[in-house]
Amino acid sequence: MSPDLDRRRFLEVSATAAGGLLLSVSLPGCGLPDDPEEPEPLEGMPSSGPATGLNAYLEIDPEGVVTVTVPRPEIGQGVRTALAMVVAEELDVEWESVRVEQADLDPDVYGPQYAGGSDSVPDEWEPLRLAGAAARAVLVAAAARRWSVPAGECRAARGVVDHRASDRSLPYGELAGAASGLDPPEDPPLRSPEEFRLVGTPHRNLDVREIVAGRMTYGLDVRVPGMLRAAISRAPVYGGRLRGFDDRDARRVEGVVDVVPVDAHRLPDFPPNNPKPADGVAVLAESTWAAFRGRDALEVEWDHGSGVEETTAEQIEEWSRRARGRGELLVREDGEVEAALADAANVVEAEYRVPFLAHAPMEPMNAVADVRENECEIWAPTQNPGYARDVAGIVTGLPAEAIRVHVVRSGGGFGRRFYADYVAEAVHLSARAGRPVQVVWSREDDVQYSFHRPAACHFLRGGLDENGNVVAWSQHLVNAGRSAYLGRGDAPEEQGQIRGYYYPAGFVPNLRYEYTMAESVVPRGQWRAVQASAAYFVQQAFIDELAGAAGADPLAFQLRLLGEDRPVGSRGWDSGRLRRVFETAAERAGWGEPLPPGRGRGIAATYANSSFVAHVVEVTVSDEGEASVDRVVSAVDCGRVVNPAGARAQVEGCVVYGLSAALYGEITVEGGRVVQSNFHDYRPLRIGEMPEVEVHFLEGADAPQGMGEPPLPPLAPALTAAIHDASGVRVRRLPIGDRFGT
Amino acid sequence: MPVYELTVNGRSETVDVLDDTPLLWVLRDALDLTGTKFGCGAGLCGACTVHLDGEAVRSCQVRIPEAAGRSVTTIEGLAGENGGHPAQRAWIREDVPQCGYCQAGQVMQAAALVDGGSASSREEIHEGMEGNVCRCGTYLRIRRAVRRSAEEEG
Repeated sequence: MSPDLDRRRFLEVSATAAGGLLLSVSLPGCGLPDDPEEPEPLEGMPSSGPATGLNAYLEIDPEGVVTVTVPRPEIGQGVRTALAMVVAEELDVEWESVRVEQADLDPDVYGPQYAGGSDSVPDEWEPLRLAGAAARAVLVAAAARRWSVPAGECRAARGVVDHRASDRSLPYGELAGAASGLDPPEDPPLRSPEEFRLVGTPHRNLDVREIVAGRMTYGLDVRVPGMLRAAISRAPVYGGRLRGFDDRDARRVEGVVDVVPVDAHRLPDFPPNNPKPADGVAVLAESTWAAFRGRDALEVEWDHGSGVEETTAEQIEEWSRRARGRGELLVREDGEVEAALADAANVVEAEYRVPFLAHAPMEPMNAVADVRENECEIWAPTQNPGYARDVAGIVTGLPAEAIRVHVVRSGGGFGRRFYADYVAEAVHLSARAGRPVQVVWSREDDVQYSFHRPAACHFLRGGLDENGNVVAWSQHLVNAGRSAYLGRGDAPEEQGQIRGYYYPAGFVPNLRYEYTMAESVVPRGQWRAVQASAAYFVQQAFIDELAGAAGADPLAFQLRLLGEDRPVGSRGWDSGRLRRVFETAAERAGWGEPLPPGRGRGIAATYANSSFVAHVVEVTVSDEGEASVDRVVSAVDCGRVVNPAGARAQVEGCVVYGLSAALYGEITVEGGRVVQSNFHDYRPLRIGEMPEVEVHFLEGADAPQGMGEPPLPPLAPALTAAIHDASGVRVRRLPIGDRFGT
Repeated sequence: MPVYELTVNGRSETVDVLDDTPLLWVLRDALDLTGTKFGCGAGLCGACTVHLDGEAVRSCQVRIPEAAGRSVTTIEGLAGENGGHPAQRAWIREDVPQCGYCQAGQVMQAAALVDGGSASSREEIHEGMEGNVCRCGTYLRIRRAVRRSAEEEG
């Protein structure tokens, strides 16, 4: 984002008087650590009266309570806490006086408001610092005016402006009214990082009290007067279309109000990257249970279409055959790969497979829409309120300014809530019903109609010279990427899970990346860490294989491949930063120290979303081939860490999400139908399987970089490397399952 | 629709719902107690855990006739008068939640374990909390919080 736009954003003074539903206001606790004996009230601090807005991001009430409006959606990544810390830091107030409100969609004021790409904290860092600093500057100016002294003689700190020469001081709360009439400076002075009191110190999730008291409002908790619930029977085969339905039994269920088709394919086109919902039949009812019961009673006839021809187990074998030949698209070619392989002292060939994966956040998809004659109001647990408004505009024909989107806390996102298909359903049904409608998905709906992480098959050949140096790398990926499904219009070489700039391109003299685009009816989208979740598993696991073939220690081999520290390309890729996370994780994990029999250790590191993460994973394997993960030691360079407690939680989160996927995660299709349906066959990690996690932060940049996704990609390859270390078995297909090597 | 009486968080309630309605949807839709969450509808994730006559149950698996005449405690009623149940206080101390959606169920499950004195060892904690899924990754903190609440209760 340009500095000009950043400045414009904070200069906008918004009317923050309560409008619409106030969905969630939370108060922070004090920073950790604190006195464990101190009683913790469950009740938060009330606001003391009408507050004065100083800019679009903050207001201050007469008692000095500061309300920060957070522009990005909260999906569990801790963005409300982290962004409030940034504002409070520059405003210079006590953390205990800060509360948070969630911004509605208003891109003219807030710019992009999505939660994706691990961008929220990096992108908001500067605008929110400026917002806090600008407010501090006008508070100082207001005090100076009051006292008729030069502003330069006044000082603002911890919620108070003082003038030492005359021994006067006023709290922010008493200055806010006067300050709101003053023009903020163009370039308000920012605090220097040495002065930071909040940023860089651990702060508890400021919503924790509301959550443990059961008072936090999630999407499914939204209640709008007159609202109906809707459950939708969607096409059982991907790409299927509605032919007809018999709703007589459904309508007999008490509480069922109406049954209407959702013939989504007839809706006008949705924009690229913003996929339509599936075709279905919706049961509208007075209660959720009646809607579910009514749906069960529907008799629906489907035109299944060609999707019935797709079965994942066959498809992946076909991809495997194709991966051994030449690719349709040359993504990158350096040197003479075939000649180098022919001359290599040692050639390693391997095929890797990764499955489709559903996101399965704990809160199933849902949204409330209220379409009225000339306006539409939406309450959605979404990562992307802009997409919600776009689809509402298409479904209703209303202009953007007639559509209000309230961003509700999401019970997890992981990329699934980047898309607005479920919002489109709610809008469509509310328009049909003439009443507010809450669409409620079941878990089975969610597992079936995720926008799955694309499955893939990679065939690799690596060549080593007599000294164990990697002299050739050939990689051919065959899959159906997300881009084609989403109609993104990406260049062909951008459509798969292998890009020309991916490591080790630039580090191996003879290297070729090829892509063959296959087809699939499975809906595909971005899943935590997107391409990196799959591609970097293959990349790091294969490097570990080459290390084994070279008879080298995997860490030493990785560091030798990285070579001299240097920036690579223009994407922030810096081999020195990757080396440092490798070394730190290894050192903290006791790399090289002997382990008892049956235990093993693996290491991997990757660069994603501008951050560098290495994990050392330690496993114990049984004689039966069961692996249990004992410990993960992580080194993370995500630039400046705003909230170490929240950043650590993201590492723990990526470990759980990554282990769930690596051990058990797999979506398969038979005859176009998804086989898995709920948590018994789409298994998440459970508490007894949770390893200890140790996190070490290196702050290799002044500004914050991505944190929600970067710890995910290196987890699976470190795990499979550890299994190899313990057992000698190479796992090249995910998921690993209960037993590997079987 | 049939009418059922039950006690929820110490209050007598009368509800008029379909006779196979799970307690989960009675609480959420009929009584507007939305702290109890819908996660899987199949007793596989624990997000809907409440106490039925003091015992932790999956409210998505309890039909209303089975709950009629009995006493239900939900997350909204767990705190009582003393600044929260030890499990709630421990959850705050350990900064457990990420998205937070599963945490009401986790806290209710933990509270039952702690109140029943079966959360003293790591094995007991794992066994007791095994049925509660968290996708965000808060298991380490849950483990610590259960231990902390057991110590406080103990």
